[in-house]
Amino acid sequence: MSESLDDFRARARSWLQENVPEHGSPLEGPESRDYALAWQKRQFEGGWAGLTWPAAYGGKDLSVLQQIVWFEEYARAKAPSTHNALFVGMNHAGPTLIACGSDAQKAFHLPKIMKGEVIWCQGFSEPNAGSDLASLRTKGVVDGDELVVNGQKIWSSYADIGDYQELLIRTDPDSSRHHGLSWVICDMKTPGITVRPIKTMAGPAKYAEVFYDNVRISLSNIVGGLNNGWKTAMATLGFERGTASLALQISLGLRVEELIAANTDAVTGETLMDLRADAAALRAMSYQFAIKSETGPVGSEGSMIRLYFAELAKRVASASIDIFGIAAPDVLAEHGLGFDYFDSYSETIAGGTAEIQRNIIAERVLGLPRGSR
Amino acid sequence: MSIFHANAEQLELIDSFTRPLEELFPVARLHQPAHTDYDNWVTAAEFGWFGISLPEEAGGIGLSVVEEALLFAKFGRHLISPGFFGASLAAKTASLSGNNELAQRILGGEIPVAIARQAASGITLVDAEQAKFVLVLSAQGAALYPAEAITQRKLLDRTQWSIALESAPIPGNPIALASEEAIGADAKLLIAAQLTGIAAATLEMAVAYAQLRQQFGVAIGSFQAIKHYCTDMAMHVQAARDTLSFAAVAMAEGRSDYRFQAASALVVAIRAALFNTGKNIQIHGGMGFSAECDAHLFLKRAHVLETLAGGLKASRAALAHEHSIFGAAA
Repeated sequence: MSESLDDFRARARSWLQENVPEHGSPLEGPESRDYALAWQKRQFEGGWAGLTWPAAYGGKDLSVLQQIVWFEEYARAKAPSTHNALFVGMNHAGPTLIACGSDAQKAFHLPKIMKGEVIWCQGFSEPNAGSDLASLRTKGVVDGDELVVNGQKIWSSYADIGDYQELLIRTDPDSSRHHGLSWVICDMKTPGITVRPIKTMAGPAKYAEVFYDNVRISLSNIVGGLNNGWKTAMATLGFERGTASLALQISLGLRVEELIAANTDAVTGETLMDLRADAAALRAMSYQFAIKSETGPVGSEGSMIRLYFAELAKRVASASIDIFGIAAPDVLAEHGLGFDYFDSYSETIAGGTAEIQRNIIAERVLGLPRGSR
Repeated sequence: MSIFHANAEQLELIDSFTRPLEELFPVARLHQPAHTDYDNWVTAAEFGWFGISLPEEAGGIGLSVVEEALLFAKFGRHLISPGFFGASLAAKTASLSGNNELAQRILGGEIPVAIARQAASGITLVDAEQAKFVLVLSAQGAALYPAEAITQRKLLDRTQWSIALESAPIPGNPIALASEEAIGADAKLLIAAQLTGIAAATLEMAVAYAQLRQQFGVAIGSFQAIKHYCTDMAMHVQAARDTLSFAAVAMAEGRSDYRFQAASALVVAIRAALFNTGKNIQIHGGMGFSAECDAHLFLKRAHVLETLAGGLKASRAALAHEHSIFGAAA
């Protein structure tokens, strides 16, 4: 007899009450790495890591609905934001390995991610391949049982503190666009890698540029097959657009309630009721997504939820400034004056701009014809 | 397994009404000045549409508000007279007042019912010219009146809105009453359902036109400006549909958050319908501004339903009264 959702919720709530760290995470550098790993380790030891991951690799094999309930309680307990150094491992690399990785890759990497032993970073975008990801040029040449990688990545989240990178490169020199790419696990300690952090408008260096100078990576680190990387990358982005933001979505609903509690202005009050209703809509959509994903793959609906979330997050951050002004104590969150507001501008850029997301939804969900960009 | 959304059987059951709805209520009928959905009143009663969620012993079909909300979303697509919504709420109001005999007569199609909204200065009646009873919605709940109890009626319009709109002073002495507590969430849910249907129908209409209409030698749907409007419309539909389904299930399951969910569903659906009906006109260009195109019919009906809900402002205020599921207590 499996545990009821209510019992599961009660158990999650009580564990979180006792275990959530008193202080939030530092935003950058080795301190943010140590904090994230320690918190992940604690969750693992408490039995709360890899909730939807397969039991064969140490996961809990729970339903997406249980995952949502966990995140609801997680947000309510004001547990450390999931938008931290663990984000790529937990929400990108881990799920991608589960979907496309070999047994050896899963057995080696998944437990390390769950136990809080490693940080993963992203390596998709390039200076000339942003929205047009398929034009990427960082190349990997097969040499014996290794790839020799040369080129440059940019906007690599957590590259300065990462152990492993999900690296998308062109491995067939005669290929173009989405053909001839490979999704590779790159050990960030490999000789030839240079990382240069990029400071953001919100302050911290959350991203980095990464340069590859004859970096040698074993062919056994390719995930999903040589020259089949586009398919693997689409799986990764599917996770990004589907379930990756669940906890953040729920925190957003709580943030709206804080604003409602603090607001005294009738005009702002109306805006806040739209935000409240839209946060409820987002929750209803996430539950629907979770229910559907129990019976099979849910594709493009995830894109819609991700975009809906991104725009709502910006509206909420903006409402916060409207209510409190730039210098009020509530804007002076633990990360500094205006941080949440400034950081919200990345929501409609990172992981594919809102404009590109709209094109994708229009073409893949609504069936509108492709056109020039 | 906890239940949070309409299930496949419920969707399938209500989909079985798709064919009769298409045959009886093509949207094109609204271009005929003399059309009236009251011609099909008895047929609708025979389908059981006025009593979907009332128990069988009360003369209803014995399903839940989930099926009812799904059905009323279809009514929205077909721009069916809000009188049908009036009948459903009137039967519930009579039943809640203990007047089962009246409820049965409404459910049987014997008494045509219309719906009206009460504001401070009077009531606005919608498509009430053939009604024997009028259900008046207000911030206090719902009150059912015999048509003759509503006096000094003044016709506001019969052509522009494709449905008769009248005004009258607030009547007294209702034959049956239901408090906001007892019926408010039902009213919000079913208005949200009709608006969701309108939002979905106009999305489909806009996308179909964007694929068909060519300019500069290509379908206008290949232009990003059009794509982005269509995507925004699609997101409004998904938000409205899922919030509606979530709220309906919360009500059917008797969950404590059902009033919050219904109030949210209404705010989301009003904005979805107004956005989508407006953008549908824009995407249809000059054709969208013509009377012969269906696009304006959807916009106008969205405004009528919004009015029946008391308006967007009042709907937001109603949501402000509810306890959030994101609060500490949930």
